[in-house]
Amino acid sequence: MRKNALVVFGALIIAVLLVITVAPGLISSRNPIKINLDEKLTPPSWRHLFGTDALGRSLFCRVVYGARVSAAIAISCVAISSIFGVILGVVSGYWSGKTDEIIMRVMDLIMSFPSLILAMAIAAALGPGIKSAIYAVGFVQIPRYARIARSSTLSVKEQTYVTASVSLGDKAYRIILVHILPNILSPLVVQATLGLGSAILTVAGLSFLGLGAQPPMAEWGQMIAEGRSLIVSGEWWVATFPGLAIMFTVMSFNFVGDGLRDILDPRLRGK
Amino acid sequence: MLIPVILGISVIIFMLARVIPGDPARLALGESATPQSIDAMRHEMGLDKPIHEQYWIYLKGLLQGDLGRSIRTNRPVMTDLLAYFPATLELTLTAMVITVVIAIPLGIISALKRNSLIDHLTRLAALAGVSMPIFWLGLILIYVLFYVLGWAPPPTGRLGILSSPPKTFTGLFMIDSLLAGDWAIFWESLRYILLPAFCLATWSLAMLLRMTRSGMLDVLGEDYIRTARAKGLPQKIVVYKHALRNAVIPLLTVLGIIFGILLNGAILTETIFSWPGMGRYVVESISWLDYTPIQGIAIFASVIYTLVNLLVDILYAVVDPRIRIVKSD
Repeated sequence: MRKNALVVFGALIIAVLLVITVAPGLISSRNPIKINLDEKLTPPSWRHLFGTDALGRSLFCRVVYGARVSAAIAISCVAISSIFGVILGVVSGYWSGKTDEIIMRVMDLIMSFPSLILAMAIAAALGPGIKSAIYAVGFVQIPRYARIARSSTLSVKEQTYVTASVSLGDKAYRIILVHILPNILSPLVVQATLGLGSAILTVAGLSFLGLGAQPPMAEWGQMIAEGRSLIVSGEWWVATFPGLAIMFTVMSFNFVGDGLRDILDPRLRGK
Repeated sequence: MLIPVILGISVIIFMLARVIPGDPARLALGESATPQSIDAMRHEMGLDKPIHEQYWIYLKGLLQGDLGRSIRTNRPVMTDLLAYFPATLELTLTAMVITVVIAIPLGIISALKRNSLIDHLTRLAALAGVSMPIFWLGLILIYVLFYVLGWAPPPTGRLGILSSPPKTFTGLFMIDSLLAGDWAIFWESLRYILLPAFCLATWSLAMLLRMTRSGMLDVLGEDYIRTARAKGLPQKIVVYKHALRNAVIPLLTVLGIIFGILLNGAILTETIFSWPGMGRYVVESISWLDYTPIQGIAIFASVIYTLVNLLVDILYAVVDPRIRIVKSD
């Protein structure tokens, strides 16, 4: 029961995020990058709910617009890693043998780097910027999907309906598309949901280091970086609110991911 | 196992180094270079050779510990790294100790008192722990514990600005100060490391906590626990002698993964606490658009990470006789 409450809570936050991603203007009428030096570093008040930053921009507005950036980041990262990961994993699991060996060794190799450090090296090589950060994080997370897709494919391809399809003379791509993919989808959906959260977290880290979003973009990690030096002079609100936004967003994806796992995999229920 | 991994790592990083938009020779010489001098530089840097030959030269250098040269410090990256690494190592090891010392007991309590208030609280804290950016947590901790309450020292790095570091043996201030018998510096470095190490530990702490809890729950459901209970053994003996050992040993394998998480996190945490380790090296290099050190760090970190995982595997086989038997079969 309690667990369901958490899932509902997560889903609600995601719904709110969706709304402000599609229509941030509904909640905040200000411009997230307009500088107003007359109002710099004002603490939270009714006029500026989250206060203003060193350039007088409303933090509430920037956090709200940041949702849009984060949504774009999360979806693109997961799209990159899941598409490549699933293709590699299914190919690896379906054909096994040499192909499997090579693909999985390369995946192991990617995983032999601490993930943020590899993402850092890739983002630096591509040149700092939000796109580089997305490519880097998307790439680094490919093995997660590849491994899940491979192991699910391995078990699904032993099923009688696959054997039947093979003996009917169906082509491999048809077997994969019609029989294998739909049956390996649920663990991948769970992983993708959790992946949305971890993509936001990692890209925020890269932005914080200066390899991701560049000013004046309203990206949450970048906003925390802007508030960093202000924390020891007491202007806590600049870094705090974007951080809370990240935390609640990532937490929601984790709740919903766990919930999905319970729904899609009944064996784990009650654990 | 180790050698192919290191070879593979070198290929990946070599390819990354070649992806860099722009000509490394032009970068090294600056804007005002003439085409002739750029050609000469390309020749000198070996950029006019075929790609496999370039890789071969790169690999030979790598095996001798040559990670390239930093444009910013004008020193070999390896020299810089060796200077910065002890600070990161001390932070990482301290965070690891904090992780293990807090997560395992809490996880066990959480499993034994399943669905109690303390169980719910620890699980919620663990969920929050994996969901927040640790660089943000670091800032909040500094604000509350240093700025508001004044309990923690300022985030100025490993020691106060007026203190001088102990004589170097290992580069780890806490060990060096003990070796030098300097208690004042020992306490000071302990005081300065606690907050960053705790901050760094949150993520791994949350993860290990969840794993300990579920591992302990699994073991408590095993037949031999029921047998022990049926024999009438007191709860204490069942928990400490039968359940604990079987639940904790598998966690050893996680230590390698935790080390990797901590290395990731160290880069971010150090930035917040002005900790003079690899993280600071990264950030300073990035702000100078000097990317050779970052590739160097990627190689360095992954080799260390691979070594630690190897060590953990060996350790696991030593501690758990079942693994040894399976492997020799």
